[in-house]
Amino acid sequence: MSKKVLVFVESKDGKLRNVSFEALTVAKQLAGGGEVIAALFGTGATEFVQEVSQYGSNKVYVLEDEVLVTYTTDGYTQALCQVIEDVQAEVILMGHTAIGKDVAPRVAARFGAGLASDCIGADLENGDIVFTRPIYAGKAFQKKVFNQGKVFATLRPNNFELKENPVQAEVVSFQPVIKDLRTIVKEIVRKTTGGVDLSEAKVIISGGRGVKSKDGFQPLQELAEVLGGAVGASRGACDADFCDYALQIGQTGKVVTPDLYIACGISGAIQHLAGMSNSKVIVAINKDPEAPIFQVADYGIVGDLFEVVPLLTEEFKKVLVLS
Amino acid sequence: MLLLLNFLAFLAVTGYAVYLFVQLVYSRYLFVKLGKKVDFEPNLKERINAVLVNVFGQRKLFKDKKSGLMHLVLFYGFFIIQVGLVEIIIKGFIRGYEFPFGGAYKYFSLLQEWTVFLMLCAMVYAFYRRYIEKLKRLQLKRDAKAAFVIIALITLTIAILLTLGFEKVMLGQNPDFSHAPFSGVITAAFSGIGKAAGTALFYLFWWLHLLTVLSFMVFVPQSKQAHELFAMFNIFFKKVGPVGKLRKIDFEDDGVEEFGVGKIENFTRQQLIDLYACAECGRCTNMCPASVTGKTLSPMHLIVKMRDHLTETGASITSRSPWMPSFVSGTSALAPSLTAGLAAQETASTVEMPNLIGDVITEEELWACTTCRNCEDQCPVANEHVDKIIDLRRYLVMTEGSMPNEATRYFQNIERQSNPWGINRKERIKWREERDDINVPTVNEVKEFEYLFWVGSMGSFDKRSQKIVQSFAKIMNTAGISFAILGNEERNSGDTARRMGNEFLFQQLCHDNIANFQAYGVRKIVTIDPHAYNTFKHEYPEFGLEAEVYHHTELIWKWIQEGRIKPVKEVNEAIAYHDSCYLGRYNNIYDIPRQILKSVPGVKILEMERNKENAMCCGAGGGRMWIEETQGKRINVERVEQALDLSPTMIGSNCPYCLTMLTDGTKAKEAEDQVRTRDIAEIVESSLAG
Ligand SMILES: Cc1cc2nc3c(=O)[nH]c(=O)nc-3n(C[C@H](O)[C@H](O)[C@H](O)COP(=O)(O)OP(=O)(O)OC[C@H]3O[C@@H](n4cnc5c(N)ncnc54)[C@H](O)[C@@H]3O)c2cc1C
Ligand code: SF4
Ligand code: SF4
Repeated sequence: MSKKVLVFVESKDGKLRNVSFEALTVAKQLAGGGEVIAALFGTGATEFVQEVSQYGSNKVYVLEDEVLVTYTTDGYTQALCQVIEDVQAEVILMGHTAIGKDVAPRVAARFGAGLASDCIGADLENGDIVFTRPIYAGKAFQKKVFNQGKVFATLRPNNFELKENPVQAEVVSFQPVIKDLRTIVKEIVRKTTGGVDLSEAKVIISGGRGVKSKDGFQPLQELAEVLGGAVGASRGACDADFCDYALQIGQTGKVVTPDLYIACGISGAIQHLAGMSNSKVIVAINKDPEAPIFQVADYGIVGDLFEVVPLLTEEFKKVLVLS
Repeated sequence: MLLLLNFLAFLAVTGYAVYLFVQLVYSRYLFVKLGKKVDFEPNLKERINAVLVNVFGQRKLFKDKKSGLMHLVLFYGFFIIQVGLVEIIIKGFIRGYEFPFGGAYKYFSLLQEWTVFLMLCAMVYAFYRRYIEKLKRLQLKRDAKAAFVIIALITLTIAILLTLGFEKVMLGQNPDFSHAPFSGVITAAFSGIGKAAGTALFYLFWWLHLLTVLSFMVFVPQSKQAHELFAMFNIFFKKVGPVGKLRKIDFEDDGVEEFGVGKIENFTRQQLIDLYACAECGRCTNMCPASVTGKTLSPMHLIVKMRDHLTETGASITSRSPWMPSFVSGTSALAPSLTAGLAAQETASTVEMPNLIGDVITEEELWACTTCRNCEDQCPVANEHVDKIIDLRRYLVMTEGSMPNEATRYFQNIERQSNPWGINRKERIKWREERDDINVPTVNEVKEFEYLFWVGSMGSFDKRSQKIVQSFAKIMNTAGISFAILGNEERNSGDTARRMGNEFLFQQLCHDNIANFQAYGVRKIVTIDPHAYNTFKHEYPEFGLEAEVYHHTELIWKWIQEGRIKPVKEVNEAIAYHDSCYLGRYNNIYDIPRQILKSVPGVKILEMERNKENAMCCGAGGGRMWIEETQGKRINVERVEQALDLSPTMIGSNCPYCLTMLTDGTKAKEAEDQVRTRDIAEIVESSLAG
């Protein structure tokens, strides 16, 4: 029972995304000897053909269209639908990335099919493809089988082992018909949050109203640089205009789970804890020994953050140079 | 011959106007009927009482004393001059006609004259308030229709006096100042012009008066003046029972295609009458915490936009033109643009109707409401804004699945851990370990208990609110009260979920909680959370709860009166007391917390300008506690500023949500070191001996 499997391959900053290779590996396995087709979007797509064929795709659809250089929901949905039609794909896989999350449900809906999203496993059992996906924040797992129609799935990044499987790939140049675009991307302006992305950071140094001013964040910034981490904040600090709201962590801000969270001058209101209490190790620096933040902290330092933080920075510098 | 012509012209004009009026009112009646039918609970006594108090007593109007008096004059004047109008009309056909009241006629005449004069004064005052004093709430919606009302009524009253005055000139009679003091002045002034000129002027003003009356009649249903017709019915048909209680959704009913309201016709008829009853007085928006702090939500505009949308939709569904006569409405400002087009074309099917949510009302507006009920409390025609907003949210949440990210997070956390932050549910009970001078057993640790102490999610998990429940536990220990908590078996009350439109989650929690109460034989519940209090007391019974429900302030006051607890230590604080919406406007409890504070030695209570039923919301209700407030000024900061105006040493409250908001507000104003924020329970505990 071989199947035709199509993989939507994504690139970011001029490089193919790792999850796309994962998807190709999975595709090879699910195809059961059938064809694995990769779809590459945007001008300059051709240069990736070689890389893609390393992971066993027999055919590469290249859509060298200006319109597809930047992602738009409309454009990608239309193009992908047309590729699927043309290929007559039975199984369609892509990464569970920002783009995957946006485009997959739309395309699936256009084919009247279901979608298994955010899968961490995909296996063949008695000819059926069984997808595994986490539910309840990973507290349980769900297995899903499609009983009719095309099979659509998005795969969670970094969950599948890569297997190289070099083949000679046939290149098909495909011209999609894209019309009635409702949005056109003119320019992409990136918000600079200063280095490391908060939600992906392994180390976060966070400041509260205790930081006192915009400049007060400077020592925190330095510590973050030394540790390769990001700077976050309480809403109190954002409200006082010490920093941008993009840094807000908590109930109505970002939820973060770094390996190390250092809270400086944050009292530990539950609204803040809601965004960081699942961090692996929490260190609190506060001059008030009664501050509730100490109740969730693994390590507490009672003291003035403006003394403690620079000390930490110095010490870490020394340790990191040594190691 | 002239008289006959006059009569025929009168018949034609009046007949046409009455025809238009009936058509217009009937159209609106049909539009309202597009709504869903609801079972009518008779409760005649309550309903008639509401009409007596709010229509004939004009009670709500007197929240603004000056406008209230003005309206009272117009309201009763309207009925009184109707009788006079009939007489004046007859005077047009029978020279010098007077009602056969014999000797009493003089008094009838006097009554009419004074009424007309007072109405004229009232209208001049109305003009002054709107255009010269520029009262804020009357500037919220500025259009030609409001001006028309004032002009028409001033014209009408003056025309009546002129007609009566020139009648005497026509008849060659002397002015009778004692019984016609105002029209008499006109008679006197013009007595020299002769009978013929008097006759001409009499008919001129007679017609002016008639045409004004008739145009106004046709105008009424097509404008905010429709409240003259609909307000009374609205007040009569209003849902009875506890205020602010939400309608249950029956999830067993398979016929339901959508939950909540996504189309105007899916409101109930009783909800739709509200829309036409609105007088555009702006009292609601004037008090709305969201409007006041610069959010796009304005309860008046919410109602008015839905009203115009209902008229448009109704016109399209029933193919009836709601704007008449068409030669006026096709060109004038009478009709909002879309239906003006409709009236002209008389074809509806080609026009695409706007979506209720998205085009008419934005999602942003819907999520801005704190469900504080200040708008409803103000509304003289008993409109209910909150249940409509929640019906629309229900549609967004349960049918569309469209809501702010924080709301999704909130629901998930409640579903998984039964608390808003997603903290492990096994940590719910931990708060009692933090103070070793209190004894707080669970229902499993005691055989019997009088009160079930509902701690609530805030009390259980929030470090600050834990202090409130600990204080209250201490008070109960001191008073020797037998009580127990559910411990880790306690779940979320579901109030917030319900008010955010997730009725499904609410009903789940409600059933679980009631099952729990029943399993432990709970007969009395006490809680420090006014939101849980309100939903247990007024909403849970519909799902089977049979228990007495108390807010902690009610019991503290009872125990103080019984002498079980005695506040003796001086608490030297000047306390600005903040009424929470759910204890106040939802449950009318204003005095008890004040009595408690008065019984604490040393306490000085400071009343904020907006207190009791006018108290401004802290900004946390209706799910706002969990959604970031990015538009306009923060509500809690505004409220704290109002408190700080009194230079208090402390801000007192009765609700853990309010306390969080007020505390955050004092921090925002950098006042947290001078002004502390405390719950009543904490204040009382600090005053107990020992
Ligand atoms: C609807 C709503 C949503 C909210 N959402 C969030 C949210 O998403 N995230 C969030 O964080 N908050 C949120 N909050 C706010 C929350 O309630 C708290 O007000 C806020 O977290 C407090 O910020 P903070 O700890 O920085 O300030 P504070 O509570 O004022 O604490 C400052 C701390 O700094 C300490 N300090 C002062 N000077 C020094 C010094 N020199 N050295 C060391 N320590 C010092 C003080 O002892 C104090 O403990 C929300 C509130 C509401 C009402
Ligand atoms: S309930 Fe309160 S917040 Fe909502 S519309 Fe009415 S006054 Fe405004
Ligand atoms: S809803 Fe009520 S309070 Fe608001 S404008 Fe209309 S009549 Fe006035």
